Amino acid sequence: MDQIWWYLTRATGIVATVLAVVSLVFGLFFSARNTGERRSPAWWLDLHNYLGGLALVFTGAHVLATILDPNSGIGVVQALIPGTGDRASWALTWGVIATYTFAIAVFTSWPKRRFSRRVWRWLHVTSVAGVALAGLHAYQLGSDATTVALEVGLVASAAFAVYAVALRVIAAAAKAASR
Amino acid sequence: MAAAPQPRSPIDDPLLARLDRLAQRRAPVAATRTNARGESPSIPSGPPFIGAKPVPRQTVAPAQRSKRRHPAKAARIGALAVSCVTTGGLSLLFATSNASGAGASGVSQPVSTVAAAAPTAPGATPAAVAAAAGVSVASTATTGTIAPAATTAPRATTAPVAAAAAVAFDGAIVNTRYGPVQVQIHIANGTVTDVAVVQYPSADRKSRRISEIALPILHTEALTAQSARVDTVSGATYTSDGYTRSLQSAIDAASAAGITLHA
Repeated sequence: MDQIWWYLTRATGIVATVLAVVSLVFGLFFSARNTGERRSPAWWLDLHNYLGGLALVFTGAHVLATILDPNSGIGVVQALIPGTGDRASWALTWGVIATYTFAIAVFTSWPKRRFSRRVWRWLHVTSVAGVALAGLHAYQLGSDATTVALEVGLVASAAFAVYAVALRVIAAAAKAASR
Repeated sequence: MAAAPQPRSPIDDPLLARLDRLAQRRAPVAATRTNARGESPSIPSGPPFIGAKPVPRQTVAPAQRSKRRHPAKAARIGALAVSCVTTGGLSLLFATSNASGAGASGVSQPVSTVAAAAPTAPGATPAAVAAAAGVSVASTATTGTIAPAATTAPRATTAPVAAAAAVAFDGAIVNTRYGPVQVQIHIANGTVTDVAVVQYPSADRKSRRISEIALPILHTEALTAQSARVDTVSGATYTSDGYTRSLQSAIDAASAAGITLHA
């Protein structure tokens, strides 16, 4: 019966990673004005916000399932403080940091107007590194990391994210050049 | 005395008109809001912007406003549904694959199906059969067995002295929560002469330490039992489970190749 927590940990981890990547890509498409004409930019922004929140919820479920799993060897301290894990310390650390970056990105989006645009942008952009760390965490520590399906999924997600980041960088460069 | 000329507004007329429309649009919404005491706040109705054209007052129904707040409402519901269904489906898949001992995500297929499909000439030696199937054959001239926990390269593992050449069969890669486990068995004259560990949980110090303790025990038990019916090593439940399942798949591969073990 205690295996259920292990299955939930794996499933929620995979879903949270996919949601984070999709949210990241939607956000980058929106900020690069690359949203096409079929949907309004507001639609993209709305979905970006929602998927980001959903990714954080599933990340929370992933952390909770890990803590509740009696065989994981990961308690509240190891799940919340980076570098305290006995086992696969670095891989676990990437996951903890990624969780914090997601939380920062989501919780600073609600009171966005309380921050200066510059500060908010820096806080928000840390989630890009967070998504990369989440992928690294999955690759290093995931129980399914050696399966072909997960490897292909990780590579596809990384390619998708890199493509979106490249579009955003190109859009920013073009905007700077036009000034 | 002439009146001072009115300073011209720095805002264009169209922009003023838009601002006026925006103010009018917000007014009914603000009127519907109530304060903590349940009273509707009074809306200051100042004069219209200078130069603004009269615009017919537009009322926005609350339903329309809520639609604008979540333009991707349908997609949101879809994303939530897909996420929940995927989580449940993956959990079920993991449970099923774990229960059956083989599956798409939990356990990989055997690395080599060994001589099952390999052409075997009459009178061919096991070594020739193995060579045709592309599997390694241990030398008969070498002695000694490398400790399983220290074995990282399966091809370096050697079988003990045997009358005939030992044929090697790779077991399935079994993914445990602490990492993959894979064994390779060497069979000579229907006897398992060696069980080499190809992969074992070694991502961290603790896993390596557990593997170093458990794998030699499992190795000895497997050679004694000449089957995958070995006891679980205390404190290394998952490694033991992965070991026995990989061992069983290697034995199955040997059986498929026509090799019968003497129990």
